[in-house]
Amino acid sequence: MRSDDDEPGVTIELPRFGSCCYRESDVIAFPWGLPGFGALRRFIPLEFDDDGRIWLQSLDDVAVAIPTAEASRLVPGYAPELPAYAEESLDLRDGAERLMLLVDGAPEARDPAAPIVVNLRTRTARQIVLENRVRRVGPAASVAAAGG
Amino acid sequence: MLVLSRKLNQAIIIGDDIRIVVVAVERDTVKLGIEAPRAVPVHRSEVYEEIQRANRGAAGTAEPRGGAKPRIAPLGRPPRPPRPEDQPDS
Repeated sequence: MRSDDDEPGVTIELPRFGSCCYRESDVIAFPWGLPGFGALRRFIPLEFDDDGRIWLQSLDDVAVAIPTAEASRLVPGYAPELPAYAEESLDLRDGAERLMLLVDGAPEARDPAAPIVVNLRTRTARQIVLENRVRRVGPAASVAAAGG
Repeated sequence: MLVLSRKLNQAIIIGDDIRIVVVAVERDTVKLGIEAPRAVPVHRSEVYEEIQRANRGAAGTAEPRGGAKPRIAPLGRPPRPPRPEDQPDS
């Protein structure tokens, strides 16, 4: 069985940050893309100092890097209730495997209503829009079951 | 764009499992009821578009302090001991 130390590294040249080496296990997949960057599906998390900022560096378009930070660093006590589609689509089984990031650009862009939720076990992520004014009424029903 | 006319309580169906019903019409406001699988996110377009704008704007944020080299953020894993190829010369 291959250990983490055996995993080959890939060196890429990033226009904004210079050279960087990553391994496939570092990649975070965004199967549904990110709002505004729907075509970009693979990112690596980069850090520079201990300032807490995590840059999501796209591997599909190396010119794109999005600054984020752990949500609890930006919003103390941050613990929103995630909608069911987030838990289900990311296959989140418990809180320990969940990491929430907030886009950390300009202060006005730090929207706590749009966390990037990462499943640390599967390394998949999705930005979730917490729009609590959308109210779901009743169970989901298939059109076929409802008689069309 | 496909344009359909619907009356009160009439619906449209998208795919096999999304149904949108006209629940009420009041002056210039139309209330829609949406039946969709729980795994399908439903958002007001202006909210989603605001998130798109914020993401694009953040991607233009200035780079970190000059000279710093990037490293992989561990994200819940113990930091990995650096290997020679993790420390490029540039």
